[in-house]
Amino acid sequence: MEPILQVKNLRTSFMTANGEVQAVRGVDFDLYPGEIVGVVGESGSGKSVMSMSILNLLADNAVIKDGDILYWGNSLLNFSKKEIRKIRGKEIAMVFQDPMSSLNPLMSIGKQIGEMIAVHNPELSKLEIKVQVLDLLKKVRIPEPEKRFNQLPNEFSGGMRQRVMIAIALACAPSVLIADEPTTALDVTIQDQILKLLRSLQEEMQMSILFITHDLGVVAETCTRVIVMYGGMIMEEAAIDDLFEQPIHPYTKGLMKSMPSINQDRKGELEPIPGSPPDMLGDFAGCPFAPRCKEARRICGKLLPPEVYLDPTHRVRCWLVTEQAKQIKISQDEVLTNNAGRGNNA
Amino acid sequence: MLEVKELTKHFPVKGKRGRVVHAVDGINFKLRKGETLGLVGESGCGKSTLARTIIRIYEPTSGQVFLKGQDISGLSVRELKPIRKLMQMIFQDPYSSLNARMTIRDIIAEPLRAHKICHTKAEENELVFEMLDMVGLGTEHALRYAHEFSGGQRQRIGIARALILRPELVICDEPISALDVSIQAQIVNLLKKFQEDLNLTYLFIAHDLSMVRYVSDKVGVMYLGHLVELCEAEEIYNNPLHPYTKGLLGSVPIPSPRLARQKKKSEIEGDIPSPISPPSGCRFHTRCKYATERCKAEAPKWQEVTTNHFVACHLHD
Repeated sequence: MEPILQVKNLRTSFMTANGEVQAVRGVDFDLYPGEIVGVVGESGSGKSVMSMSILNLLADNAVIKDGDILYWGNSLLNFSKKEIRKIRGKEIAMVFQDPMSSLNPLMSIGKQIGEMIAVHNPELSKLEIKVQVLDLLKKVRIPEPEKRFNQLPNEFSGGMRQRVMIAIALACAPSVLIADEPTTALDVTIQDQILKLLRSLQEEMQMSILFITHDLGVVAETCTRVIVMYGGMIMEEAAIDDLFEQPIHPYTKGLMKSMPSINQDRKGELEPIPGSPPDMLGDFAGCPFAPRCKEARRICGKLLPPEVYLDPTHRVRCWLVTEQAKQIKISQDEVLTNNAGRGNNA
Repeated sequence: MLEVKELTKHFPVKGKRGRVVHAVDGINFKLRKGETLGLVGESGCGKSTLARTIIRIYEPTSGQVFLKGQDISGLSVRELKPIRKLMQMIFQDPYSSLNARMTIRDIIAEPLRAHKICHTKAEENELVFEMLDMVGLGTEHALRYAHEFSGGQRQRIGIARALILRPELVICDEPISALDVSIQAQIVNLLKKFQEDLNLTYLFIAHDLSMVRYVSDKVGVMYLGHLVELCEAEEIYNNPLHPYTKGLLGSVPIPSPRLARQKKKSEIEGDIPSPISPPSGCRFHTRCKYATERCKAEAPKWQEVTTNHFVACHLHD
């Protein structure tokens, strides 16, 4: 199967008064039709910047320094502003974290959803648009759509607003949905409802979803494949069951151990990851996780580990694996080129 | 240590005379010294208001709060001052709860100054440095400002400020909700260590049930201003009685794909209703699968079903 979206060696930096903040440092992955891929990481891991880079929604001081983003094989980076606007919303849509601030408070819900349809389908009449909007409201299971159509966002609860945001994103039946922490601002009960809605809509519409979150529990319930990011890089990628049952990277393992679970015995103490996330200013000496890693060796602080594929769907960036697997004995120069290139050892 | 009796807090609704927000309605519980009560519920259920009413940031509408046997709900501001030393609060947002214009030393020393505890600067510094060390920060951090710290470090500063007066009751209002997972566990373990070392009593507020399990001896579940269930921590996970508690437990994502696929969820439909005109009878009946006519008409009584297991639900009369 051909990937619908490919991110290739993406590097995104922000030019700030203090210097260059390298938020994304060489990220590669493919998204295939009909799958839900989770991107997990803490704040500052570069997961949101990576997703914003895809649709070129970055701030003015951001620069995509290297790499490429391909949609059905076409580079999105070569598109003009006008061309990318046709892709945005119609082919690739986004749902953001905060449903409170992403809606226009002065415009009725029906109009806001209809706007999206009108922009991409200028030939439609007002009535045709209204019919489609009512249909969308039903699709995202908002009760009494006719009444809700004319209401303002302040008359909606947080969960209902997120449903409206999803309706806007789905208005043009996109083939890719980027969901950036869509349930983080919601209560667990409402989060549960929204996740269910996203899963059933994904099946119904056969979209691909890139699901960005910090919550491994949400990933476990939603995704088919997971990418774990740290310090602007992918540390581990695996199919969902593999990642949870056999996490390899010390960071992934650390995340699992520091997470509380309601079906675990309380005696299992939480094991936090010591220290705090890295400063994204400037270059790392070695593995970005090395300063917080319990299993770190001397080499970890000096050289960036290469990516190693344990099997075709499971890759890890960690020196421990490189040694254990004894797949490659590399000289220093090779390591450096490997970092710049990547993953040729698949 | 702490006893709350029929505590109620209503807020008047602006522009609508006589209408009130029923934020907290008739709450009863007891908390022994050295124990932790975890309080959970959706946003808007009144858990933060309850905490703030106990600590007298808000004036209670009715009901009483006993701290070490003394009724503090009717005390004047002046009478309250020595008591405030005994109860302190840790806030949710480590970004807005620290003054951006004060150095860390001044932030942590402020409670000492407010209660005129130290007579010399050296004495004050000694206490502040000791406290910084206890929360895992160094003396070199003392003269910096809050913006130079990460979220987890700021929360440590908030904890240092709350504990420098050596309080006995500490109210933690979602102290970890704003932090990353790896940092959450650090803060939770730090709070647990202080509880052992200083014999603290915690009222720990959270919006979901997963982290609460690791810190609490007892867990209380709130819904629309009412306490609907209260029991020993393990009991609430193994034998939840109230349909709302079951739904709340069912909606926490399970970090295991295999278990997540197996799990049969008891889910909660719809949104939390407005606390201005809460539903009649049992406040949960609008979202409850088991609701009967009786639930709509009559509010269930708060009763002890088995030893130390309290619930307010007609299913368990």
